[in-house]
Amino acid sequence: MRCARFADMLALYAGGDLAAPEAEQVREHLAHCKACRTRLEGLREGIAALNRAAVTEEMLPEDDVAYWHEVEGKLRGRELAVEQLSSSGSWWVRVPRVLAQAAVVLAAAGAVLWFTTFRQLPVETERPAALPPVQADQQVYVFYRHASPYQQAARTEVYAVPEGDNEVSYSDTGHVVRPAEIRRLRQLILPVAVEEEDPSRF
Amino acid sequence: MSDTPDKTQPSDAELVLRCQQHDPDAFRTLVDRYRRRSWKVAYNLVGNMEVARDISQEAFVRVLRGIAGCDPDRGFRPWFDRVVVNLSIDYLRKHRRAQSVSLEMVVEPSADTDGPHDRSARDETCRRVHRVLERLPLKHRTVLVMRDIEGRECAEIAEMLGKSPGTVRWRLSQARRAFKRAWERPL
Repeated sequence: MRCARFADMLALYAGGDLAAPEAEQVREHLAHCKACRTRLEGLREGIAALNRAAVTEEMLPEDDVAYWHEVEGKLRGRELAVEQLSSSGSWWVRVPRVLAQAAVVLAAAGAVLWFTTFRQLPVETERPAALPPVQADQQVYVFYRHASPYQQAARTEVYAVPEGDNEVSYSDTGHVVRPAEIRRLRQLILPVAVEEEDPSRF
Repeated sequence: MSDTPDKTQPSDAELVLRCQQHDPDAFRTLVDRYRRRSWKVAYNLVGNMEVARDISQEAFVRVLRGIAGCDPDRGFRPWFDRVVVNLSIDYLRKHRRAQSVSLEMVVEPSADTDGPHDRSARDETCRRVHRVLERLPLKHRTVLVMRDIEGRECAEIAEMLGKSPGTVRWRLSQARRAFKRAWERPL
């Protein structure tokens, strides 16, 4: 069998970390492979060196009492610091925290103000009852008001020119259409040929 | 330590419960009981006495902060060891390039039955092992220290590192081969 197949198993076998069936395979291979026996020796030498480098608690230097008192002091200090952070604390802990809280409150208030002031949603209004019903062949005029970044576009459909010169609000967004505008539009969209053939318009 | 229950001494589980109820005496007892162990665990990983002691100190701070998350029934020692090992790995990750083993920092055995010659030979081995370990990738170094220096079982290492036992065995195999190559090469 090829040695490469045993390379990883050999490293585990050297430290006794191989299961019994695999260890048996390695032993069989080692019986007739001198190169792997040499590798095993090297691996065992490395493991032995690591074992020798182990430091136990008994081998550590004598306890430095002052150091551990220092540790205890630090621990107590950190404990206090944690308590201060979680409760009131001194001014240099409190002030940044109050400022941060104030910033959050201001940001929230600003957001509410922006939504209520600048963002206008469509308002439901009543359609004028005076308008006559739409006929199938009736002309329909559509008026648009351009939308601003915060407002929706207004679209007004006019089915009949209102009586007199009163301004009439047609749209559900409060778009006011003047009768003069409707008349001007009618003139603009009338076919030229019709205008020429109708001398009464001149 | 806590392996052999002593009727006169409170158990780890009892101390943990008392710590969770903010008993400073219980915490001090835990520090007394585990300070040298944590120092040793950290030293075997980082190879520097002073750094190991600082890590040990930091570990107790972490314990103080996170004692509420320790389950007394599962044992304090594995939980605490995991804190120390994680802090040591963090240190090694941060100082991967800059670290070196100071000769003065390498352990000086205090009470030892070996003769001066044996002690000196072991110190030399210890220094050389840590110099070789420094040249290995962190993941190899970690499993090698935990298995071959500290003598932990693969399953325990897997649990501490949050890896599967198969991954740990694979890394251990790679690490031993890498250590052998580096050990045989002159420094």
